[in-house]
Amino acid sequence: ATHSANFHQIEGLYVDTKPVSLADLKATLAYFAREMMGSGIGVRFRPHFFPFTEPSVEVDFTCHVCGGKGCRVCKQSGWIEVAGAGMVDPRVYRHVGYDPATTYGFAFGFGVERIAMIKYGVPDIRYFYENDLRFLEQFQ
Amino acid sequence: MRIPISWLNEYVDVSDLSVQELSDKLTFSGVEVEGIETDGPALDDHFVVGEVLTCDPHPDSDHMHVCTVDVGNGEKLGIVCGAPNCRAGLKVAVAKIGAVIPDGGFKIKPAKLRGVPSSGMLCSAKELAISQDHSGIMELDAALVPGTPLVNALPKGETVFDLEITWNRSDCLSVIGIAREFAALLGRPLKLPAVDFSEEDGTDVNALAKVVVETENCPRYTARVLTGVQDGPSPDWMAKRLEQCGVRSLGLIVDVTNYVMLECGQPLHAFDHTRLAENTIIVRQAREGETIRTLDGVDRKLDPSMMVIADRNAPVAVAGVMGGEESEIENATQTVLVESALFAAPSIKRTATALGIHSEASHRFERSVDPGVADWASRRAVSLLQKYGGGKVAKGVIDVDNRPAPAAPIRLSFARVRELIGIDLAADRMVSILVSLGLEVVSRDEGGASFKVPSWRVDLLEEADLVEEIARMNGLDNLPDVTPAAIAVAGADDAPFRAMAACREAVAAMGLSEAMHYSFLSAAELNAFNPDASERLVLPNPVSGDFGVMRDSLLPQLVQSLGRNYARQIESPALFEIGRVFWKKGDQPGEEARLSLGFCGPFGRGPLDRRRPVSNEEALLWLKGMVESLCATLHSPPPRFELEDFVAFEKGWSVAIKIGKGVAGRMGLVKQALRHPFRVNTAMAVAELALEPLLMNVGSHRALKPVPAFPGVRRDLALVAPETLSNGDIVKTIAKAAPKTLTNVTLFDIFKPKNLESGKRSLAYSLEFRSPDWTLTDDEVNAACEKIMTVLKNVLGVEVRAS
Repeated sequence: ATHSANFHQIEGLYVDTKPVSLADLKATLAYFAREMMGSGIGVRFRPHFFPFTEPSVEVDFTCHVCGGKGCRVCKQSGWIEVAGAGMVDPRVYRHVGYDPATTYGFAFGFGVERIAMIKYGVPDIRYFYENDLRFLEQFQ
Repeated sequence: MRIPISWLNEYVDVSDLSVQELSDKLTFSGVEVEGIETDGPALDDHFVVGEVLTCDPHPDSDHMHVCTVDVGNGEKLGIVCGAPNCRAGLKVAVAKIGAVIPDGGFKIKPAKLRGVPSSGMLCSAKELAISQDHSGIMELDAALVPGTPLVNALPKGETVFDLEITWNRSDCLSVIGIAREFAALLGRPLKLPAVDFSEEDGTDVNALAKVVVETENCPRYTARVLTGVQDGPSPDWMAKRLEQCGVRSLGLIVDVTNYVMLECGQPLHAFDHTRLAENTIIVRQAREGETIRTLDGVDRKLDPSMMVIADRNAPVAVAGVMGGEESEIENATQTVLVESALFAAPSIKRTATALGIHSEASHRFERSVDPGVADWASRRAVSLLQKYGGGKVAKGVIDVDNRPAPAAPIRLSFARVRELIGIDLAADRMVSILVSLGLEVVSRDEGGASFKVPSWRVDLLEEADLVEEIARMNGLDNLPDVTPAAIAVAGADDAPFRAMAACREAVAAMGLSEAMHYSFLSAAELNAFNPDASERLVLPNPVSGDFGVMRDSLLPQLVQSLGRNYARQIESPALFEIGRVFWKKGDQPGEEARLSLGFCGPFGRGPLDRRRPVSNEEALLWLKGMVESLCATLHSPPPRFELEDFVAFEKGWSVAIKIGKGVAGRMGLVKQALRHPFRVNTAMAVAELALEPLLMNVGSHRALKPVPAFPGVRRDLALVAPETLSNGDIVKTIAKAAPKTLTNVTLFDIFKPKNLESGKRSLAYSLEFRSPDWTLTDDEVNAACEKIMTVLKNVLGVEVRAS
C-alpha cells in the first residue's frame, strides 16, 4: 500500500511582505532534495490544483535509483512524485486578515512516510505502523 | 476521464503529434494523463485467420452450415456456423477451442450443434467487440493467410487517454474542453461541430410543453421537443465513442444525450414527453415524503433539500443527478423533450451525496457546468436526433433564464505576474497566453490589463487564477535557479519541541525503540482498557469500522505491537510511543500528548542471564526504575507510586503514577487475557504518562545547590515488618520522625530468614545524616536514630534493630 488512513504530513509555509516567487519555492525544495536524497537529485514541477495555493504544483524528485535514466521504481519516467506545493492562495490571506496585495508566500506538504519510503526503499507504508522491531532497529 | 484521440482530433488537429507528445503536452500543462490504452479486443493466439474450404448445409437445420476451415499449419477444423454469409472461399475470424470471446466472455469448448460436432467458432464483429455488427461473420481480406494471428489481421485499436481532471477544471470534463487546451497549447484553431436542424412549420414548442421553475437552484432551464423520433441502435461511430469513454450504448435517444454531454460537458436528459402529466415540467425542491424510482430501479426517498424535475403529479427526475424510470425513454418512444439546464453545484453535490448516487451528470454539475453552453448543447442534441432518428422539431425553445449577470472583468498586474512566477515575462506574452485560452482584453495600460473571462472557465475568479494560467501555459520547466534565502526570525518558541526531543532521546537511550500507531482504532480494542465509552471521540465517517474511534490511550496499541513482536520470536521487545490521545466531554473535543513505554521478556538482563524466568516483581520494578530514571533525566519532580487497580492490569501489579500535583499516568503488568492472543507467557510491563507533567521542568532554570562542606554519617536500620506494609509508608514514617539532618533513606535489602514467621519480611535501610554547618556528633546521630526506631515501633508496630 502507498497510502494510509492516517494523514501524516510535514508542511512548510513561508509568508513575507516582500515578493516571493515560484522560483524561490523551487530553490527551497531543490535544497531539501539535495540534502535529503543526495547531491544529484533535482526537482520538477507539474501544474496541479489545491484549494489553498494558486498556482499549484505537484513536485517530483529525480529518481535516486536510476539517476533519472528510467527504471522500474520510477516507471521508466526518471522522476518520482513527492509533494504538493504552490504559492499561497489570496483567499487564505484574506481569511486570516492579511492584505493579499502586500503579502507573498509559498507552501508545500510532504507525506512523512512517503519520503522515508523513497529514501530507504520501504515497499509498503504499513511497515511504519506495524512496529516490527526487525524494521525499526534498522533505523538507529 | 477517458478520451479517444480520434474524437479529440475532430475538434483540433493533433494528427501530427505522437501519442507521447500529446500526453506530455497535457500533463505538463495541468491535465495529468494517468493511463494510455489502445482499445481493441484482447485476442490471444486462440484467435486466427481461417479459410472456409467447404460449406455444406447442416443435415438437421435449415439455417446452419457445416464447414471445414483451414486454420494454418495443416490443421483443418470442423465448425458449425449459423451465419447467412458463410460460404466456401471466405477468409474468416476463427475462435479455436480455449478462446474467450471478448463480447460476453464465454470460453469456446468442443460442442455439438444439432448433432454435428463443432471445434470452434466463426466470429462476427460484435462477438470480437469490434463493432455492433452481428448481421453475419466477419469477412476478412482475401489476401490473408490461414493461421495468421487475428490480432495482426485486424486494424489496430485506437488510443484512449485516461485523464486526471483536477477539481477546479470542470471545463476539461469534455472532449471539446480538452480540444480547447490543445488549441491554446499548439496555437491551432478549434473546430466546433454543426448544430443545424430544421424546425417544423406551423408548430410551437410552447403548445407542446410548459416549464415552471420554482427554485433558486436552477438558474436556467431550456427545453426543445421532437415528435416522431425513431429510437433504435445508434450509428456505429457514436456507439463506439461512447464505449471508448466507458458509457454504455442504450439506444439512439439516450445515446445522443450522453454523447453531447461527453462532447461539450453539458449533461442533458431526454424525457418521454407523453409520460409527463399535463405536458408540464416543474423544477422545484422535493416535498417531504415524496419518492421516486430512478432509472437504476432503486426506490429513493426525497426531502426538501433535493431538487427534482416534476410534472403536475410527481417527481419525474432527480434534477441533474438521475432520471426517473416512469418517464424513461423506451424503445417505442416517439415524442421527446430534451432538457438542457443549469443546476447549482452545491445543491447537486448535496443531493447526490445524500442519495449515494454518482453519475456522469452529477459529476459535472457538482463541479459547475459552463453557464453559457446550455442552448448550444440542446441544438447539437436535436440536430443529431433529427439526423439519425428522423423526427420533427417543434419550432422554438423554452428558455427560463435567470442566470446572474456575468462577473466583472479581472484586472491583472504585469508586475505581480513576474513577482509570483519569478520569470521576467513580457507583457505581450502574458496577454497572448490568456487570449489563447479564450479571455478577452477589455482594457490595457502600462501596468496591466483587464480581462473578460469566457463562460466555460468557472474557475477563473481573481488575479491569482490568471497568474496560474500564465505559469502553466508558459511552462514550469524554465524557472530560474535562485539561492534559497529566508529571513531568520529570532524568538520562535520551539522549547516544547526540544523538550519532546529530549524525552524521546532519553527513552531511546534506555534501549527502547520508538513505535508509531494510527490515531484511531476500533471500539473493541479500546474496551479492554476503558470500558466506559461515554467520553470517546467517535468518527462520523470512518474509513472502516477498524478505525471508528480516536484513541483515548496509547496502551492498547502498545500492547498489540509488543505482542506481535514477541509472537515473531523477538525475545524481549521494548517499545515506546510519544503520541496524542483524544476525547469528547459533552460536545467539546479535547486531546493531550502522552508517552507510553513497555517491554516483555528478559529486557534489561545481560546476555548470559536471559533464560531465567522473569518474575512479576522483576518486570514491574524494572519499569518503575525506567520511569524514575526518565524523570531524573528530565528534571521533573520525582514520581510517586501508589497501588491502584486498572481494568487491563493484573490485580496487585497495577500502579498510579503521580508527578507533582495530581495523577500523571499509570503502569502495570498486562493481564493474561490481553497477552494470550500473542502467546506472551511472560510478564509484559507497560506504562503511560501525560507529557506535560513529565516535561514541566525541561529547560527550566536551576541554581547550584551548595556542595557539602562537612562529612556525613551513615547508619543502617533493620526491620521486621508485615509484607503488606509498603516501603513507601516506612520511608515516609522515617522521614517524618527524623531531624532535618537526615539527607537520604535507601532500602538496600529485602530478605526472608528461614526462621521468620510467615507473612513477615526483613527490610534493611541505610540512613544518611549530614549537617551543612558542622560535623555531626555520634550523640546527635544516635539520638536521631533512637527517635526514629521508637516512632517505627509505636506508629507502625515493626521490630527494629540498628547496626
